[in-house]
Amino acid sequence: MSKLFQRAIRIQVSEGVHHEPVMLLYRGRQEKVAKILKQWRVTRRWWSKGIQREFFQIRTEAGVVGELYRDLLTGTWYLQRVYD
Amino acid sequence: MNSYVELHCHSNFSLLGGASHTEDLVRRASELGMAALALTDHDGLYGAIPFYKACLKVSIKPVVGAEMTLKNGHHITLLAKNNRGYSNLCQVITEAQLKHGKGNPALDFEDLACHSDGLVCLAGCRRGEIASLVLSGDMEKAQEVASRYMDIFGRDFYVEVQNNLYPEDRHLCRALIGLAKNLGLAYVTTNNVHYATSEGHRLQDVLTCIKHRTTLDKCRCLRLNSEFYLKSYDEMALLFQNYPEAVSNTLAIAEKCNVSLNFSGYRFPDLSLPQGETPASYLAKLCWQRVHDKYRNLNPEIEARVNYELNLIKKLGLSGYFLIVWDIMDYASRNDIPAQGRGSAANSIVAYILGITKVDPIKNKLFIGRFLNEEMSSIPDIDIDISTTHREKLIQYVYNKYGREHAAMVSTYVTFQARSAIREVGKALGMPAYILDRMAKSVSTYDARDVLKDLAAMKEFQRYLTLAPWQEFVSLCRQIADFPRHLSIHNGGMVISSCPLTNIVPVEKATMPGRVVCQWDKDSVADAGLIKVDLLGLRMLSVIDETRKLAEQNHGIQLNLDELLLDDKEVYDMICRGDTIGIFQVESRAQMQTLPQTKPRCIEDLTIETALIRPGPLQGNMVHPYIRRRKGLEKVTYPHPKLKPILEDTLGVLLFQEQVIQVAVTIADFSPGEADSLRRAMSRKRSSGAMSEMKQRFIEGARKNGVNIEAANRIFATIQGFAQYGFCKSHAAGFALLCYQSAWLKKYYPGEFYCALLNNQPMGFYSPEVIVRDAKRHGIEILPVDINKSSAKCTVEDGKVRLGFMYIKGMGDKVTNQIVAERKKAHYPSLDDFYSRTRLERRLVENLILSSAFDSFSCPKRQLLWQLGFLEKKRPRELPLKFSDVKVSLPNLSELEEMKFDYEIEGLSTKYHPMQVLRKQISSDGLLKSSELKYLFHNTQVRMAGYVITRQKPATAKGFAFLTLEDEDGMINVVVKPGIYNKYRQVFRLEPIIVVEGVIQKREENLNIIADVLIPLRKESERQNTMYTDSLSSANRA
Repeated sequence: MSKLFQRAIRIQVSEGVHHEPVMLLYRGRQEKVAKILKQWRVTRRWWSKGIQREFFQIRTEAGVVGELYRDLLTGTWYLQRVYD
Repeated sequence: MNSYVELHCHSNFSLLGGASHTEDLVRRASELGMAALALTDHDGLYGAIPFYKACLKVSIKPVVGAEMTLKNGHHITLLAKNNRGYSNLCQVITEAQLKHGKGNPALDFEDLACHSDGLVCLAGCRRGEIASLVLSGDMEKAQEVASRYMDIFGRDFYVEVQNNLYPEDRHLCRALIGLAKNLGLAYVTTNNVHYATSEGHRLQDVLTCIKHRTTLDKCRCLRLNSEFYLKSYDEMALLFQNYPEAVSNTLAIAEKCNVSLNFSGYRFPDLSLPQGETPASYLAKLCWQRVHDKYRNLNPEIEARVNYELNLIKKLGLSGYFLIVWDIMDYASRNDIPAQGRGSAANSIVAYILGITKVDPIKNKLFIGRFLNEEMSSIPDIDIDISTTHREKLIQYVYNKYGREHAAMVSTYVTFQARSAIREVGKALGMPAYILDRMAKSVSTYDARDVLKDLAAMKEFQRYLTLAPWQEFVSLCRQIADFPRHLSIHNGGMVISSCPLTNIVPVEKATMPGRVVCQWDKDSVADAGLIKVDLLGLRMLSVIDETRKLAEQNHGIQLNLDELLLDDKEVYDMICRGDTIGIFQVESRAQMQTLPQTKPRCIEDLTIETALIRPGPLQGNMVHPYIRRRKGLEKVTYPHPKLKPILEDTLGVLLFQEQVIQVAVTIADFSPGEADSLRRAMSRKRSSGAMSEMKQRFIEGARKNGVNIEAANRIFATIQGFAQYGFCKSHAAGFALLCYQSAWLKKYYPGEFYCALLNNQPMGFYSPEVIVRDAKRHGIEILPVDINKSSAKCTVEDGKVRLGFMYIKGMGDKVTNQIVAERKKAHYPSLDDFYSRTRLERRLVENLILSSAFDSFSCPKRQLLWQLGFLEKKRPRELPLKFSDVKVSLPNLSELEEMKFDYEIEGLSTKYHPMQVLRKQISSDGLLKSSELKYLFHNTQVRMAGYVITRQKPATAKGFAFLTLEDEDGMINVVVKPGIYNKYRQVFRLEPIIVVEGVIQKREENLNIIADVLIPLRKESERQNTMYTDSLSSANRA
């Protein structure tokens, strides 16, 4: 089961050299990323409101598995989904 | 070594898949520092030659390959390791293409196994069999499949891993590499490239939509991201940082792939010769046997020319080639197929004697050096024009003679040009169809790169172009320019080879049954050094042949057109009047305007006329000096006295390519071969270094020959200015013969000639409706379709032309044959009888009624349509019942309605001219007819309305545009100056009937209107109505 946020939540993320998430601030707690499980990129709807996002499925050191993405147009991070 | 080579790359030859030209991919690979690049288009080697050439140009190693679709729908990537592998690659592609339906290639595993030698096999993208099994979790089966490939390809089989940043890619790569390690297999990464840089993803999405006939909003098969571009070593190394071997193996594979696309071993097949003969001896024997057929009195000049050419042909190793072409032409002649060689081949006396060409090179003073010379490095093309109706027979002869393994048609690519780009890109972007339609009809450029410039010049579209989506649209139109859209078949090019052709180039099915086409176009075929014989369909040959046969049949005579004396005064009088609709090569608007000035009076004049009115000579400013000299307004001068014999026939003006060669030979002592190289160099853009070297040689040669430097410089400049526009005299002479023959037939057998013209459409400059009206002006009545008299094609009845069923919309061969076969049993006495015997579908019978096919029953068309409604309800064999009580009185069709139906159903009207009908609806106040204009003075202000039969805006006319308007009395030319064109561009391009206001220009026998205003006729009626109501209201006010 997972919780998919209807509107992704904007979060703060510390990035590594290749813009990969290293640490994130979630519900007031700092969570260190233990492993990137998946990474993918989405470029869609360029003919209207373009979407360019880099997604990461991560597991934090506390064992939380979630999906977050970086908006490649603005550089801001969003939390999209948290798995139970 | 820090290097990466892309081994899986699609160009736009993966039709509607790849979004970059091969040249752009190679350029990008070079920028990225790649040592090699592979091209792996889907199921074909369409782009292999331009790719190979582009790679050599930037010193990148070309790796030739293909991504093949297997019978089970999965993909694999094949790369040629060596020439044996290349040949096998051609074989497997051919097998995949020929064994399955056109457009659905599928490779059998067994065929792959038989032709695996010399090939490197990569397991394929995520649509590969192994990757698909891994993704579905069936590792056991995946290993089994991998082992099967390993058994075939051994160490040349690689597991292909791709990370295009899709969600499952990391997992897939890990699993595939695990599998490879378990089996001891090598693995390699590729990026499944579909465009050179990441920006290309937009065009790729658009191409996907075009392929699936949908829009971007609705398309469900667009790629997730824009990662399918040529990536650098750094990018690939980062993606595969845990598997460096995957990256380094790309270089290892590229190093073992060494293919040379040099087919010097290729030869054309030998014709089977009589015992003891060599190709050269047999060719000579044929020539001397037949020389008397062409020259009754052999003289030393002819003998010397024949000997010279035969020796030259032998020396160049072309005897076999000549024999092959002779064999084709001999078959044509034995089977009464009208055919004749075209182009520079007509310079050859051997070709003339063998019946390959029809122009006598001695009589026409044709210079062999343009066609053959000792220094030539490539094999000259011999192109043959064949009557279009007979062409297929000749093509099948070649297939059967040499076998389908050794002969194939050359392909051609239909590419995106301005109009198709606007329509298809716009549709994919979801732009409104009516705007796209207007834009497509309005653009005057052919080049999709110029769409923005062209549209921006029109006020109507300017507001769109400021909006972001439309800016995206024009940008995509520019990018898609010249992309191949689909494969088609070349007009007539056939490649013939002694070795199986499929060792050199893959072949595939053509749409037409019984034909195969090779995957290369004419440029690739030429670049690969293969010989093609062009068997080109020429409709005029069909027209001439058909007219001759009809004339023989109707007049009980025998006509040998090859023996016409070419000096008939009345024929030349007709040509000089510009009365040339339907006559080969001289029927265009520009020709009609020139003919009354140049007044050709012999076949040599016609040869010049054929070559003169062309974009090249117009651009090279050769036309007006020639015309002035011809009219005696300018003195005939020569750049040097030595050139008089060469330029005498063209009044001192350089007009033919042969003359350039002869000038260089005479002035600078060039050999014919050197002179031809000079001509070729001048006709293309060559480096200034090479050109100045040639100039130096020319000047030096001239000096030694006693020509002073100043004159030599002047002559060089003249030929340089001319060379790129010149025309081959032998070609013009061949066309001039057909021009005379068609003119002679028009003059003496006009009914038969117009009938044949109507049967061979589309051809020439004019549509059938214009031909019908020209026939009427020449006193030839054109009769409508008649259900009891018409055949499928048009026929001649007592000097009148009866339209055939072919002109009626929806009438195919099957229906026509049915009507005619049934009629042979007994004529149709009524619609009732016709319908009960044929039971054709209602729409077709309606079309027949409306096109006057039942007029001979003397029943109005509306009444017949009414009857048809009852007949339809009647079952076969039902007893006749008279519905006398349901007879109604229906009004007859009006003239306008009749004309509208004529145009809708037949595309022409035998009864009405549109102006004749529409004129009644507008006031004749101030509107003149074309026949009235000739009585007016030069510079008189006039208004005239006409139906547009041609509209042209030649690139060579410095912004001027030309209309030919026609009314019920005749035709008139309208000249539209650049400023006026820009103002009325949309009327010029789109309106069918135009009112023109302007002044009369009279020059010699030419009469033009110089337009000031162009108005659509419908607006003219509105204007007149307004004027009427305005005058009424002002009268009321008064």
